[in-house]
Formats: sequence, C-alpha cells, structure tokens
Amino acid sequence: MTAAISAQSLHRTFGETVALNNLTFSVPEASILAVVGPDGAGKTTLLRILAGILNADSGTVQISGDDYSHIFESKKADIGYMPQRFGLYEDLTVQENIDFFADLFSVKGEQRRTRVQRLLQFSRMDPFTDRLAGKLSGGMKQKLGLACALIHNPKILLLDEPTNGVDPVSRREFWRLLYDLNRDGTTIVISSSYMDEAERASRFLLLHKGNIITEGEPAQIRANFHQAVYELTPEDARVAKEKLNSDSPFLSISLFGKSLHIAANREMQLERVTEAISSKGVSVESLREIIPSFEDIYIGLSQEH
Amino acid sequence: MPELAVDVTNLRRDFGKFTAVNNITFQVNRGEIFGFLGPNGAGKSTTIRMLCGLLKPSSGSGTVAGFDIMKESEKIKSRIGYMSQKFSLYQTLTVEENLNFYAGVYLMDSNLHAEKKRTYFAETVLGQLRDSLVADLPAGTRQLLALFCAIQHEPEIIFLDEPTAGVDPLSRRYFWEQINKLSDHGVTIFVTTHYLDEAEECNRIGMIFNGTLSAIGEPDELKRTRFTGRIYKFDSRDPWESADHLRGRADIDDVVLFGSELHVTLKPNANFDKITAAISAVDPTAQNITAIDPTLEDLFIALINEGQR
Repeated sequence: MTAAISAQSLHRTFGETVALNNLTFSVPEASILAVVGPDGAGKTTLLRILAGILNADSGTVQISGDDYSHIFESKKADIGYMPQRFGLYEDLTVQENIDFFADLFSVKGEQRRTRVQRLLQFSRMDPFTDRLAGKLSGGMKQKLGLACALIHNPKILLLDEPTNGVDPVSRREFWRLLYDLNRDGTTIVISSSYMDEAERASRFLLLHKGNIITEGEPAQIRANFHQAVYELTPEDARVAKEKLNSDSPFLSISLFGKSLHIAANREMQLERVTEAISSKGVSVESLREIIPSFEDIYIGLSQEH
Repeated sequence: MPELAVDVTNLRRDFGKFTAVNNITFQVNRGEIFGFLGPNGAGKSTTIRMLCGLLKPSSGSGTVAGFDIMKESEKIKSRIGYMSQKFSLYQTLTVEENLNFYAGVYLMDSNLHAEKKRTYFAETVLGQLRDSLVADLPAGTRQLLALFCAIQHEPEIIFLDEPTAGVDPLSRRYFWEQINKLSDHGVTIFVTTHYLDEAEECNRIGMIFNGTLSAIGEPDELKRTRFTGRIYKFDSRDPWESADHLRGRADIDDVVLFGSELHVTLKPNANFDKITAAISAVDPTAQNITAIDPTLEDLFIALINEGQR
C-alpha cells in the first residue's frame, strides 16, 4: 500500500535553531497520526511543511507516492490544513465563512450546494448559519474551522492543535467528526497537547527538540516502552510522593489524581520495588503494575531526552 | 483572615437579554483548590470577573476575602491575583522586565521581589530565559511567567482562568506543583480548566452549565453521588460498526471511541447481561468487556446530557 504521506530526512533550521532534525517517517493511508511533544518540539513546523506552505532546507515529502516538488496545484488540493489560529473571519457569518472558503477552492454548482449542506449537518452547525463567527463559542469556532478546511474534500487533513481550549463535550464531538472522516478514508495528522487524544489516534509520533523519540502504532509503542509502571493509591498521594522522591531508586514518580504512578526499570524485581517503597514509610497495600498510559510513556521518554 | 475565601449568594449577571450567570450560590474555603468547570460559554469567565471586582453583578450579594463584592471591589483587587485567559504580558519586554513591571503595579516590597525572582529563576526554565523577549517564548513558558506575574505579590486568593490551555503535559505537571505549593501555604486557588484530569487534583469542584451551578463538592463524592450510569469498556477490531449498532439502543447513554477501545455508558436501569449479549451479537470481535470507574470527564458529559434532556 502506498503511504498517504512519506517524509525522508526532513530538515529545517531557523537561524541557529534546528527545528526539525532529519525526520523520516510515513503515514499509512486512512490512518490517524497524533503528533505530540513539548513546546518548541517542532510540531507546527512539521505540519506547515507537510501542508506545503513552508519549505524544508533538505529532505523530501511524498504525498500518495508523488514527490512534493513535482506536485501540481491540483494535487495540493488533496490536502486540508487547519493552522493553530485558523483564519476565520469574525465579522462574517458561519455561512459566509464557508462560502468564502468554497470560493477560494473553486467549489461550484451542485457539488458546492450538497457539500456545504453536508458539512453544516455533520458539524451540527446548521442552526447557526446566520451567527457571526466572532460570536461562536470556542468549540464551535473550531468546528467551523474544520468545516472550512474540509470544503474541498481533501484526502489528507492536517490539524495543528485544533482542540486547545475546547471543552470536553465539544472535544468528544470533534473526535466523532474525525472518526467519521477517517472511516470514509481521510488520512489525518493531528498535533495535540492532550494525551487522551494521542490514545485515540491509530499512530503516535513523539517529537522532542526536532527529533522523533518514538513513532508507530500504540500497541507497538507500549511494547517497546522499557519502563515498568506501578500504581499506588496511598492515603495522601502528595505526602507519599514527597517521601518517595528523596534518594529514590525509581525513574519517575508522578501524580495521577489521588494515585501515584511509579516508573522503574523493567529489570527491577517487584520485591525490590515493594521494599523501596515501604522503606520510606509508605504503605504498599494498593501497589499494582499497570499498562502504561500514553502520559506515562510521554513522561518516561521526555525525561530521557 | 476569614475562613471563607469566597462566599456568594444568588450572584447574577445579565448582558442585555442574555443571562450569563444565573443566581449562583456557593462558598470556597480558605486554602483550598477549587476547580470551576463548564463548557465554553457557560459563564465561568463572567463569574471570575465578578469575583475579582472587575465586573459588577446585576444582582446578588457576597464577599471575597471578607470584602463586599458590591461595595468594596477596590479592597478585593488588592488582595487577589488574577491570571486571565489572555494575560497581558508585554511582548516587547524581557521575562525579568515583565516581573519587575507587575511588582511595580502591586507596589511590592523590593526585598520580597528580589527573593521571588531568585526562586523562580533557580527553579524553572525562566532562569535561562530572564533576558529573552516574551514574544520569543513558547506558549507553556509564557503561561508559567504569567502565573508568576500574578502570584509574586503573595495574594490571598488567586483566580486562574484556563491557565494551562495548550501547555504540554510535563509543563502542566510543573504548573500544578506550583499551585499545590501555594495551597499548602494557605493561598486559595480558584481555577478553571478543560483538562479534567487536572480537576481530579482539586479539593472541590463546581460545575456550571448555562449560567447555573449544577454540581458542587469533592471530585470523588460527586462521581459517587451524581454519576448514576455505569461504564464498561471493551476492545474491538471493528469499533465503528460496534459503535453504530450500540448507539441506537435505549439502554445505552453514550458510546465513545478510543482507538480500538470503546467506552459504553449504560443507563442507570440497564441490564448488564443483556448488553453484554448485545455487544457479542453485533460484534464477534469484542473482547475484554470490563467495568471501569467514571472519570470527571464522564460525569461532566453525563450532567450536560441530563441538562439537555
């Protein structure tokens, strides 16, 4: 199968800063790739290069097997891109914004009528067509942004942190829209600072200072993760964390609500883990090994780099 | 200092015909971390602005830090810190100059300010960036600086309006460590967030929908008392098909996809055995059907659905 996107040795610098350091990866057709990483990791730069609005210093991008440098404008139209601050016109209505993007991409006639209708229904924006974009709530703005990015029916959708500041209900709805699109064959690349969104994607790419720390399917990434993670629910998690932190044999101790996640080398025997915890005066009664979440993996891999 | 940091009764604010906040009554104890949750446009920011003395309530009464919200807004302002969603850092000033500027606004004692800066610079990435322009900082670092600008004068109560939006997971953890430390020192934290995993760390939370307070209490208590459904998860090779079939059922409230995993929320009176049988019938690839505890996000969504019914 041809990959929807295939990047070879992508390199990009800004002055002395290396934003992307020789990245090679590919995104299979009809998959959802979550790009995750701290501030300044290179997420936005990567998406802008994939969208064809920023050039790499070196390296190549292929879209459905064709080299980017040979892609004619018609092929670029296969890509929909929603930047972090999407350029909606706040003093235009929902309908006018969609019309504007339809004009921009020369979507005309009957096709335009049906597509606009479908997008309005699918984003549940149809009751609000006359509302000014500036008067929409955060979640609705993002849905309108998505509708505008979809007006030309792209095969590949690039979304740069589309759910920042969006409430949980709208976020769930947004993801339902993404799954519907994906089911119809759209390939999606989405950057996010929400780890639960990384769990929802079919592939995961962790960027750190322009380098790929890990990349692949969730199951594969979990299997390759070389830390064991234990959950402990002590009476007072913060006090216990304090105690365990001093002179700790563990790789990291993180607060998850009222529990602690304790990461240790896989080689460390359960017996020694138990011993190390109880020697600090913390009860091990609730200790159990868990399947690491993406947040655990993120913490583990980020701290190594 | 009073035991109640915030104590308001029937607080209301109208904008023309629109009621943004509709007669809310609640208290926040001194030194606690209070999470104020709700969808976009529910009235969170309007409430915060009224509590900070920046917006006059249409009606209602109450106190913040012991002062009357209707009559003593100037006294309130001098005792609180407020970090708004778009906190005004000066883009063309450096990190240190921004801290200096806000120290001036709050007439901070110079010794105390020097000590605060020493701590912030020693403990965080801001140390290496003290001479950098704010315009050049990544979003997470900027939020951290905004937090320090809002708290360096040691206010009794701090209002944080979505302080961690768009901040990466590790920075968010650091941010919350700071919040916990402040609370240990008796500072009251009033915080809004859309990351409900953060809300799990709050001592108490309030949930506001359409201007009305619909739940208030400790996270665990609310999950126990207000979440009436049950949630099961299972793995599937064809999660979409499964979701389609299950969504239509009368005994199922909600079906959410997480990659190849499905979370199914049952209605309170639903029969689990029937649903298990139904799942196996529509999806032969279904595996590992297990009960899971509801998260605050599950509760949040259930309460909204309840309100819309």
